Amino acid sequence: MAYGSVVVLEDIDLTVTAGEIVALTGVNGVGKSTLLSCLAGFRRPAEGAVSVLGGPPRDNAEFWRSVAIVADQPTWYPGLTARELLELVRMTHQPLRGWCLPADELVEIFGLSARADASPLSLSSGQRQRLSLAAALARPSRLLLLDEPEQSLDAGFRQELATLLSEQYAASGGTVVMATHDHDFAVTAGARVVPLAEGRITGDTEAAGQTEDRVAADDGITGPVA
Amino acid sequence: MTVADDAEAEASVAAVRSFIARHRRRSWVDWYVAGFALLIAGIYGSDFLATPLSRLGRPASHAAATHAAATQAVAGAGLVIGVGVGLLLLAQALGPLALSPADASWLLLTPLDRRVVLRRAALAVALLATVAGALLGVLGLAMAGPYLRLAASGLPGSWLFLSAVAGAGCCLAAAAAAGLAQPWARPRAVIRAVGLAVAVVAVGGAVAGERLSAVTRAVTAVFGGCPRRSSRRRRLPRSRSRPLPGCCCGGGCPSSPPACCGPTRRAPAGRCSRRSS
Repeated sequence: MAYGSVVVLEDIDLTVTAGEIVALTGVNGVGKSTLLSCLAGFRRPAEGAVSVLGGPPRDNAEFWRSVAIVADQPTWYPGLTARELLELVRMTHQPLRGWCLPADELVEIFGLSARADASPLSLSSGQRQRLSLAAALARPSRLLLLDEPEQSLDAGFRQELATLLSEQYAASGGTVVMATHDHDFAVTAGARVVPLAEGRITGDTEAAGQTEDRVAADDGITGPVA
Repeated sequence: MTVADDAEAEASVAAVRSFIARHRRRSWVDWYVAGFALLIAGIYGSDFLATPLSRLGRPASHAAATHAAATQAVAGAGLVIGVGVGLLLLAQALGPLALSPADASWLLLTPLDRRVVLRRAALAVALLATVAGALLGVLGLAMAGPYLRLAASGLPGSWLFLSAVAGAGCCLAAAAAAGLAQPWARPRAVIRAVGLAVAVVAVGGAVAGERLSAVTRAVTAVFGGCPRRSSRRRRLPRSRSRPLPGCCCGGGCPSSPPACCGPTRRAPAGRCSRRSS
């Protein structure tokens, strides 16, 4: 994957199975978000092939019914409240076949009860991030792409989110690929950590919960970046 | 955990739009900003267009055939072509369909029928291209109008309509080409290059016409603004058709003296006066 003459990712060979959680780690600018955008089909690799859910990323209804994305910057629909945004997401993805959570339940789980009927403009950055994550879980999907989901979230809710992803989303067959700087978050989610350095995969651990020793050893290479 | 049943039908774009319209709150600031932007655009736009468009209402004048008018016509045409190409390049840079960021994030990347989601934006672009093209067409005519009017009588009505239709058609075609070329980088680059070349030629011609009177004279001859064999000239006695000293067009249009070189009185240098009879 290259931006003009600048090669960002090289020799990436990564296979993710259904129901797996994969955490891409590495310092800023190493290509984590670029890899996610390749998986979403926003960028095409200069060489090689990307296959998502049985084929190259397709910009069509079937693909977007199966893939959910949370970008690194929270977005919302202007003029709609937090609860209405969640209802809008559910409405645009009908029929809702598969695992997802209703708007009211999401509001509660994501700690937005007191601000559910407020404009996202009036929410704090952490609450907006919670809303973006909630919107991704308000509709069914088979693949969840998360770009630094932990940002702006307090430590306690990071743990809750990790648990939700591993025990509910992944347990129901959903696959998560996320870029993160928080190793603890990845470990709690039981993620397979894929460290990137200089545009290459420098190690590929198994599920973090099962091989904590290897993850710890990899800390020296990828290390959590504040 | 909820596994929703699949008895629900697919949502229609109309239902989604209706949901948004019902729930969306707009503050007075939004309306104020939109209204103020329209007002400012109207003021500046009308001010910008007032001068060239006022030419359309002026009666045909012999002064229109002067070197200055011809230069102005060429420069005006260059300006109009430049604006048209600029709009095209802007459309290519920003994308042919102006979808709001919110719609792009929350409606486009969903299973909704994309054709229907984009229909409103496509219609808006088509409408804008039509209006802008018609305006450019009329503007182009306004720039060259008084000059061309000497060559053809009865200009305004049909010419105005044809100019507007031609301009709108060209702009609509350009917008459609820009939209259809989106998936292909090479055709987009070709359109950009051709547009830039046309703009460079137009602006270059305008600048050259300003600097070199020979260019303007050539353009003048092509458009017939200084008719070589006008019936008026043929009717005039030969001795009277000679440029008179002090006539403004004596040196500006030597190969084909325009109408003002007919029955004229002697005037101070740089001024022209037609006999009232």
